[in-house]
Amino acid sequence: MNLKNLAMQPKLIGLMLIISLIPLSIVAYFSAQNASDALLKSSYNQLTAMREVKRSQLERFFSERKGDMGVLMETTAALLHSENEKLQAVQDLKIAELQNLFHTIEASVNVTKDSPYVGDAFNAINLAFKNNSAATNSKAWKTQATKYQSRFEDVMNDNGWYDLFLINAEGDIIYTVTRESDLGMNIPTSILKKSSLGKAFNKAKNLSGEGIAIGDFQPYAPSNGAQAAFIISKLKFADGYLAMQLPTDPINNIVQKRSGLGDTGETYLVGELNGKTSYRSDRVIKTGKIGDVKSGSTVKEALSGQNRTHIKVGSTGDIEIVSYAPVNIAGLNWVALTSKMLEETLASKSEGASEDYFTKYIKEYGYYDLFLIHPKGKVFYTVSKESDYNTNIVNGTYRDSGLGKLTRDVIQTRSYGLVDFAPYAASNDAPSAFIAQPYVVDGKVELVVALQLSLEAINVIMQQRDGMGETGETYLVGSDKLMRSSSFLAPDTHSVAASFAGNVKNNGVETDAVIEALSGKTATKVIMDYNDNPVLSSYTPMKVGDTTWVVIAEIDEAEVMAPVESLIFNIVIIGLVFTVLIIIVAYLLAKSITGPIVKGVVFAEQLAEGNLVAHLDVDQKDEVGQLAVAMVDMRDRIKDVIQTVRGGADNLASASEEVSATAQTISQGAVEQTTSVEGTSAAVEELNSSVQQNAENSSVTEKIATTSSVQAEQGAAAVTETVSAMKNIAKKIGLIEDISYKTNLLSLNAAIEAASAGEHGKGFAVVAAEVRKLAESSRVTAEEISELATNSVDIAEKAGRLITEVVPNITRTSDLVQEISAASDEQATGIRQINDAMGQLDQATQQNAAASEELAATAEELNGQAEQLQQSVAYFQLAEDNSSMPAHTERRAPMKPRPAARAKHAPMAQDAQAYSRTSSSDFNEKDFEKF
Amino acid sequence: MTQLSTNNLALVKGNVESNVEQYAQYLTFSVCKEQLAINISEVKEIIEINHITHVPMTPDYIRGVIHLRGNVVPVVDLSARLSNTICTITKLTCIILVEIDTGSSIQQIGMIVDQVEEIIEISNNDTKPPPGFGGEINVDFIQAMGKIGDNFIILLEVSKILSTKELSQLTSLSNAELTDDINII
Repeated sequence: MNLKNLAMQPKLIGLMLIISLIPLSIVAYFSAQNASDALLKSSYNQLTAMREVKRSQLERFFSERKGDMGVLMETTAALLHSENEKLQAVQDLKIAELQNLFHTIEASVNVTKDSPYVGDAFNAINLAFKNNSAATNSKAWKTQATKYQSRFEDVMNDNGWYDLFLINAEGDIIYTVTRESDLGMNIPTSILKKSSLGKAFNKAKNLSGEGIAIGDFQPYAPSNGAQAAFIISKLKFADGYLAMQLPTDPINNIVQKRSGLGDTGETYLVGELNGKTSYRSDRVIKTGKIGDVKSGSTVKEALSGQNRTHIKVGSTGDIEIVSYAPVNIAGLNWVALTSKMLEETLASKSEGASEDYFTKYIKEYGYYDLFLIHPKGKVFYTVSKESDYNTNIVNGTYRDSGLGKLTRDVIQTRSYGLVDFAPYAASNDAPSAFIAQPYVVDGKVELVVALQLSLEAINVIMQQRDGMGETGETYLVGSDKLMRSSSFLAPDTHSVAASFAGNVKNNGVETDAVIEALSGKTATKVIMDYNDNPVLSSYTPMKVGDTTWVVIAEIDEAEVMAPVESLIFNIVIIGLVFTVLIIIVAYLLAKSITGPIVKGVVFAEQLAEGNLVAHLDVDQKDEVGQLAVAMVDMRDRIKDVIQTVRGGADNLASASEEVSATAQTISQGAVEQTTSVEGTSAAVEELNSSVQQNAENSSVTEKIATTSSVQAEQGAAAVTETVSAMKNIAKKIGLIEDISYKTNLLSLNAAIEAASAGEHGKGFAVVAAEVRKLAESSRVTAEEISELATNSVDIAEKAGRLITEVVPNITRTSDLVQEISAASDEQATGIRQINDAMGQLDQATQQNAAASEELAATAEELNGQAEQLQQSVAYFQLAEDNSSMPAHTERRAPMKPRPAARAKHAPMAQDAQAYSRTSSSDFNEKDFEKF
Repeated sequence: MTQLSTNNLALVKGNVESNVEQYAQYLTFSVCKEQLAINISEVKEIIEINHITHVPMTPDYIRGVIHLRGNVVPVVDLSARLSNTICTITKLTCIILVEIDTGSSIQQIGMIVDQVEEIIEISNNDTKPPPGFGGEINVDFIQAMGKIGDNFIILLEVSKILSTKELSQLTSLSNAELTDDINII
């Protein structure tokens, strides 16, 4: 509706805009859509590729770690092995030296006892001892002792002995070099019996032939309780014994040699005597003197003759590597043990180096720390020596840490293991993952090597951002929905450290991607990331040890969509430019179309004003030009018509006067008619009454005829009943005939029977014949009656027929009378109508008179109308130089205010005018016809 | 009619008096308005027409069979046989039951006639042999021509009305009917 009321120009401009902008916007929409789809697709592909690269890098990382671990294990094992060899070598060397020492001692003892000089000396001293009632303070003994003193001192000193004894067969100590308190004592009877000397003497006495008896180290009271061992041998040239006291120094000198044992290594001897085990050499690193009790499973195993190396928890709790071997000296049950702290063994620094192998290793390979763990749980080596060093990881402070769990796990499974990142208390709650592998020897776990993985390595992999744009990132999320690699976009809240320190809601990632990937799905889609930004996400689960990580590659949707947005922006700019261009072009075009139309409008308005000499100046051949030509044509035609109408109006005025005169004449004629009609009317009234009398008479006659008709019909019915009764009688007579016929048959049969009976039946035959005759006669009679009845029936039928013929005649009479009655009624009605008609005629005549009067008045009115018409037609200007024009316009002037005053009812006024014009034209036509 | 019966009585009387004149009794009847007669000794019974069972595949002159006191009796339409007109049955129509000796057995046959009339006696003097028409025309079925007053009446030879072959057909018909009845029972 509104569109209709709009001017042409804006309409055209609007139309062109719509036509050009709609395809433009459709093209823009589809290209933006396609570009967006393509971008999304390529972004997804890129993300997925990135994700897979990261994932394979991570998988390679973890498999490399496993490989590293294997290599490390091998290295450690080799290290351990070589160290063992080294320890054993040192130990074997010492044992050999020790054995050599004892051989030397034995040899010198043998040489001494086999010396005749010693025999002589013994005999001389013994004699002096005995002669002076077993005293060593006699002159003779002193003489003899002094005589041999220097010789024996030489022997003792040359061999490095502590003391030299001569003992006679009774067990008296008749001579000692050092003359301690034991001199002169009798071994079997004194306190010496239980000493090492006593035991050795006992053994020597029981020896048959030559031989040497050794008494193991024991505290020796005469030497102020110092540890002493004794070797006794029987003299070859006297009935006595030579004994030597062995000091501790030579043994310690051998055993305590520290070359090749590092800082913590030492060798010591343990001997068994009387079921007790005790040191046979002084300890250097740890405390322990000869004679101190030393027991334990290792000592026991060593004393049982085994020779091996193993790792054990030492007496101080340190983890040591211990090697032991028996010392083969006749008469002594000794073993040599060499222990060294395992930490030093494995983490020994090579010469000139500032760092041990493991320290270098973790630096080289980028681990955070390395642990060596004893199967019982003790962490006996770490590189960084944090607070977990020297604690028990299996059941100590850090037993619940990842490392603790992993260690228990690995010891049980005896194979490589990995534990996911978790805060590790010993490293200040830094998130740490561990890998570990046990060192198994003969199915027994000897050692566990564990590595603490640093976050850096994973972060380095995940944070490589080549080709990721501004907002792209890849990150890892653990099955606990916490970070496993630090986020690039939110380093404060979503680093691994922050994630483990915080909670899942603020510092973790619980997006759709993580949830779906943890349920095993690999997909790409648009999700809300942990910062509540819409992102394109590509995610996949990844097995790490026993747990699942999620590898996610994401990029902000906004970044991906930026080219599309710039495309849309460009399209909008182009659209705006086009809009402006189109408006300009459309404006020019619309102006060229509407210009001539506006001229046409002006022309039409002039026509409406009555100016039939107006000009229209449009020189075009198109539709608008044709319209202009048509309008000019229209102006010319109207001009012709108006001229004709003007002439007609003048004629009309003169004709109407003549009509008025004629109307007067008609009026007089009508009055005369009225009187004659009243006379006729009275005559018709009389006629009417006589016809009504006729009608009543015929009605009575009709009733009588109807009664006769009914009675005649009843008579006919009675006759019909008579006929049927007669017929009934005839039928009954037929029955009698039948009976007589049957009787005839019976008589015939009887005759036949009689005939067949021959002579005997003759009488019967006669009877039968008689019966037949009777039957015959009754039949004849019946026939006669029947004939009579039939005749009666005919007569009765005839009577019936006659009566029946009378009935229609009577009925017809009745009908005729009815018709007469009806005709009379119709006559009455007709006369009444004539009467009415006469009344109407009277009225019509009177009306005629009135009408002719009105006609005269109307003719007057017509005359006035004709004048008004002349005035109206004068409105049109037919020629530019019409001299009558001014007069007409003046006459028209008073009429103008009328429509102006009734402005509200303008359409009505127009209608009224139109009506008056048409009616006046009607009158005009009538006049033309009449004349 | 009265006159006729008086004649009959006179004939009977004559038969008693003279040995030369022999009287035989005849049953007169009409077929197609023709008056015929048969010897009463050949008539077994006159019965009214009752229900006739039509037998298919039989010639027109065999109307069918009736059931008479336990016997099946074939019925011949005399009008059809003698003048090839099938008779219309009226209330006067009846069946004359005759017995025919076929040689091997005695066959009962019903004959439909338009009307039976009376039993008359005819003297052998009043009977004339059948006329010879010569050649082809078969007159076997006429026993004799009886004279009653001035009129001749044809005395039918019952056994010749039907040929031997036709009779045997009738015999088989009655037998077959009986067998069928048995079968049905």
